Amino acid sequence: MAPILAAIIYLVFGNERRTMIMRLLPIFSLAFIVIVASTSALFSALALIIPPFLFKEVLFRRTSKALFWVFLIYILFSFGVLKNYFGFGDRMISAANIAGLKPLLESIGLSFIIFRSVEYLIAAPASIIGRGTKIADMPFLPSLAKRFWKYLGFCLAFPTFTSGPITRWRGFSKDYDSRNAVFENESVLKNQIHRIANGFVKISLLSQPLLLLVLGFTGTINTLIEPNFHYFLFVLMASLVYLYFLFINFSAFTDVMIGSGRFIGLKLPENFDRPFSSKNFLDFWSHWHLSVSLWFRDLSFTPIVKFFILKGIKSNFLCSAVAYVVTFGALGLWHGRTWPFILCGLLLAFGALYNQIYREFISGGVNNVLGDKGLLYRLWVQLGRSVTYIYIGIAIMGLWLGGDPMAVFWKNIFSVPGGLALITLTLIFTAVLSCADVMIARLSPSIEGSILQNIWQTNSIEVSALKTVLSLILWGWFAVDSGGFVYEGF
Amino acid sequence: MAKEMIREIESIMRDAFDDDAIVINSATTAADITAWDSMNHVRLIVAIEQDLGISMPMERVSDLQNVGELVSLVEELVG
Repeated sequence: MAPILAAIIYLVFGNERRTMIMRLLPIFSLAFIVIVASTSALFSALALIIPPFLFKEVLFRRTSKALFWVFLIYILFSFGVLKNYFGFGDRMISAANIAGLKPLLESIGLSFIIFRSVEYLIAAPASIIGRGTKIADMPFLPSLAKRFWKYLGFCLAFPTFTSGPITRWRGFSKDYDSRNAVFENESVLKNQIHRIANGFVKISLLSQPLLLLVLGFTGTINTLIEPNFHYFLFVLMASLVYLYFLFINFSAFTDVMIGSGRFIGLKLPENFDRPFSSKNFLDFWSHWHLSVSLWFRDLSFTPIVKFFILKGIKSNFLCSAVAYVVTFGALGLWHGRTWPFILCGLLLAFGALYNQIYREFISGGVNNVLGDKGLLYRLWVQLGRSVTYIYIGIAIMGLWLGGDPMAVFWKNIFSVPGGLALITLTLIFTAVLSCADVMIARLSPSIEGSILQNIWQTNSIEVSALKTVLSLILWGWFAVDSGGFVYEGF
Repeated sequence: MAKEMIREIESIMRDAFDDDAIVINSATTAADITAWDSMNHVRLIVAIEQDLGISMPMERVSDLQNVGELVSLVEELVG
C-alpha cells in the first residue's frame, strides 16, 4: 500500500514539487492510517503523539530537568496503556465501563511512533522556535501550528508508520525543509524502483521459502513428545533459520519502504549493513536493525554510561553492565510484555556483557595463542560467528515459538541431549560458515557479469516492473498464514 | 585552527583511553584505534565536554564519521 500511495503522489505532484508533497505529508499519512489500519488506530496514534508536542512546547519556554522527567515518564506510561502492557488498558477501560474505547488498544505502528515522539522531546532544538523552521510557504499558519504540522509529518510519515525505519528529527527536518527536487536525476529514480522491486524479489523468493522451512521444523517439533536430542536439534535449527528469515523479511520490507520514501522526498535511514558478516555479538548489533539499535544507543545506552562516567565510575565493565541490562531489557520489552520477551532482553544483555568481558580480558590471550592469521585463528573466528548467530536465534525464539513449547525447551535444555544438540549444531554451522566463505570467494569471479547478477543489479524500469509483478504472483502463491512482514504487528 | 584542535583532541583522547601512543588525523576513525569502542567513545565525549566547556548534542555526536567531523563539530560549538 505504501509504495502505491507514494507512486501516486509522485505522479500527481511531479518531481519538482517536493516542498508541497512534504507540506501535505500529514494529510497523506492520516488517510493512510485510516485505510491500512483503522480510525481507532489513528486516534490511538494521536493520543500518543499530541502530549509530547505540548510537553516540548513547555520545555522550549521553561527548561526544567524535573519537568522533562515527568513528561518522559508520562509518555512511556501512556504508551504502556495503549499497548495494553500488564493489562493496564483493559483494566482502565473496564473500570471506566466504556467498552467503545477498546479498539483504541490497537498496537499497529504505536511502537514506532513512540520512538519518534521521545526523540522529538529530547532532540528537537530550541532554535526552531520563532524561526518558522523555513516553513515560510505556509504564511496562513502561526508558527506553533507550523511546528505541530511538521511534527505530525515526522511522527506519522506513512512509509515509516507501521514498522520504521525510525527517522531521526535532524534527518527528517533536512528533508522537510529541502527545496530540492524529489529525485536528482532519472538514474536515482530508476535506482529506487529497482530497490523496491528487489525488496519484493527478496520476500517472495527467499523470505517465504525460509518461513515455510521454519513452519516445517515447527510441525516436526510438535510431533516430538520427548525433549530428546532430535527435539533440541530441530528447535535450534528452526531458531537459526528463523534468524535468517527475519533478516531477509525485514530487510526486504526496509528496501520497499526506503524506496517508497524517496518518492515523496524522504531519505529514510538504512536498517541493515550485512549483519551476517559480523564476527561477534556486539558487532552483530552494530549491523542489525540499525535505526532501532542506534535509537537505543543514543537514547538509552549512551546517557546511562555518561551518567556513570560523570559520577566518577572508572570501570568500563560496571558502566556497560548496567547500560546493557537496561537497554536490552527495554528492547526485549518493546517486542512484547510476556516472559519470552523479558527473557529475550536478559539473554541479549548477557550476550553483550560476555562480549565485553571477552574483548577486555580474554581476546588478547586467545590472539597470543592462535596468532591472528593462521588456520586455527580463522576457525576460531568462524566458531565465534556460529555461536553468535545460534545464541541470538535462541534469544529471539519468542517471536515464533509459543510460550508453552518455549517453557519445555528452557526446562530441559541444560541436559545431556540439550548440550549435545547445541554442540552438534555449533560444529556443523561452523563448518557451513567456513565452506560458505570459501565458496563465495571462489564463485564470485564466475558470478560477476552473469545473467542472474545482471537481472539483480539492472535498474531498467521494464526489468524492475517485471520482477515486481512476478514476485507478487509468487508471494501470493507461497503465502502462508503469517506470510506478511514480521514487524508489521508492532 | 583545525590542526591545533586535532592536537588538543588527541591529548584528551590519550587521557581518556589511557594510551599515550595514540596519534590521530582528520581521517582517523574508531576502526583505526583499538581502544575506541562504544564505552570509550562516551568517555571521550564526556572528556571533551568537560575540558572545553561545551555540550555536544547527542544527535550530532551520533552523526560523526571521523576525527575531522568531530573537530568541525567541536570548533562550531566552541565558537
